[in-house]
Amino acid sequence: MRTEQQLLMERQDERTEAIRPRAPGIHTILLHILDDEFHDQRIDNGLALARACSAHLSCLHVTPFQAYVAFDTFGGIFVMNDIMQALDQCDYELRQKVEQRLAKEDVSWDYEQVSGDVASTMIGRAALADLLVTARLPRRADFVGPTIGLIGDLLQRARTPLFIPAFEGPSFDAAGTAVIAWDGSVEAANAVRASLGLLELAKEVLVIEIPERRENSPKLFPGTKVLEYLSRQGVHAELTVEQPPSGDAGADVVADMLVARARGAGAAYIVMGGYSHTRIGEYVFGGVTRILLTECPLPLVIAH
Amino acid sequence: MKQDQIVMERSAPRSSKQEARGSAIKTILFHVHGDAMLDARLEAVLSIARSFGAELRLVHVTPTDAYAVVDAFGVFVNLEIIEALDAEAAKLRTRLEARLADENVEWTYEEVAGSLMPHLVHCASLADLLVIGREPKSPEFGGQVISLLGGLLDHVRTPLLVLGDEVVGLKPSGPAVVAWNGSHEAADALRASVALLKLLPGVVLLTVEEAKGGKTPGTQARDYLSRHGIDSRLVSRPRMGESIADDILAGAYAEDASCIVMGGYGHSRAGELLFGGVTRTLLKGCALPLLIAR
Repeated sequence: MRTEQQLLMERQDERTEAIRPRAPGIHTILLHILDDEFHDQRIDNGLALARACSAHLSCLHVTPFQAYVAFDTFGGIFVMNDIMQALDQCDYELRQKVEQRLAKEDVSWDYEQVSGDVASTMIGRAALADLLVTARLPRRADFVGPTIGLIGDLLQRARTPLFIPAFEGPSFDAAGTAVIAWDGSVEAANAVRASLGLLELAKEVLVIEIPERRENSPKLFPGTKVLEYLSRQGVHAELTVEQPPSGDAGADVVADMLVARARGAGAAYIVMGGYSHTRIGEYVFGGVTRILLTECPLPLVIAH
Repeated sequence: MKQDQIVMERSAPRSSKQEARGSAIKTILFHVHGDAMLDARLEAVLSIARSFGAELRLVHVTPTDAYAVVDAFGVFVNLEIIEALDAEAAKLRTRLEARLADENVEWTYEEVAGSLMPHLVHCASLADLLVIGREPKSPEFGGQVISLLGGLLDHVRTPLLVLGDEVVGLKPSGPAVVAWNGSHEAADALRASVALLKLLPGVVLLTVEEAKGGKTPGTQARDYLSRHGIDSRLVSRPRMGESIADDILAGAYAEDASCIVMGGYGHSRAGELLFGGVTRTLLKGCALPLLIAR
């Protein structure tokens, strides 16, 4: 009978519609390839993300031109051939290693090797990526590693959200619990919007709001506004508002509470905004963000 | 006969729900400004909200700060003017709420007294699209279009739709024409507007020859879009008109575009937001809707 068939079709459609994510999603992931101690872990994270989001993994290795260009005290520029050759060899071996690794995976990928300024090159490529996987290396002095300085540059100049893997721990689980560190700022709101593609995949989303002491408090969004926004996007989240013990806490107390709460909830990652004021120097960050960048044991998704 | 009727009724809501479910634009912020074009703009934004299945947040700001006079002794506010402004705002609200009462679009109306820009920036962060009109330059509202928009764009990450001067709203059958010059800004604009581009019937990446060559080839942009399930075409036009802006507009007309998409911003050394010449020209006046995304 026609009416029954019609009903059946409706129900099936609704089921498939419910599964299909709504937000534009993450379809192109830019993975920063760097031959440091976290190299494999970064690739693991990139692969886990690409699989979870059914995204294309774009690998980028940048050989900083400063590595083989020397400046003398009179302003002359030398390109040191031996060093160039050695670097080319290193780059080639790295590429081989990574490509061999990726060839075994069932993820769509490509590899690009570029010489240039690390930050500018990454920022340029990031424009057509939905997520950028990079690493944090605490307190590294040289320009090669993805230091906080690079992350700061990326945050300020690139619009793509950053995924920063944890130092160690279980492999990334996109279907785990997502925690949103909410401070009511415009930056946090931007971060939530930018990470919708990931939030949709999480089995649970927790918004943790911890009022922080601020000198010039800009107008704040209450956590409930985020819940409303997310629910309109089909993501159902819960809100917890935590009061710091003394009622007026600095960044380190807030950061501790946040990490404790996130770990307690078994969070797979934390979403947060970057910093609220213009950077005046290389290592100046909004307090909580900086602390989490240096110390957080969980992966971070940061946007600005 | 009765069975047929029942079947037809059930079909209608299902198809509109289908459309709405695929949409990632769920919260639209609309700036209410009581000028001559308001009604046309309201119709346009209602139509957009309906087809995207979005909730419409109307925001009206009474710029009381424009009437506050500060001198060495304090802040003086001319109460009569404030009262008159409040009365106007209330009248406008009543009229609009009556108009919206019968609409099957979810909406909220917010009346705010204060400074326009910070408030819009604040509201826009948790919105998927910000819709404004190109308001007439009006001294009593404290500023010109470009400086308002400049301020907004500096802080807002939400795509901004400036409704057109002649074609106010989005034509349902027309593609989005993206002004593509391979630059970082153009790539950012593309990525930031993906949610909206998915909902339009097509995308054209339009390059005006002799425009600054950027590093990102159009093919890479097409790949990026296709991974998002968006088909696009690369179109190139020669430099023919008086300005690149004219060429882009001509290209948009040739494609029967629903809107023009661009980023087009830069920062001076002092860190101030500067518009590239093309964006600036189109921001000042554009017959078609303009989507600025970054």
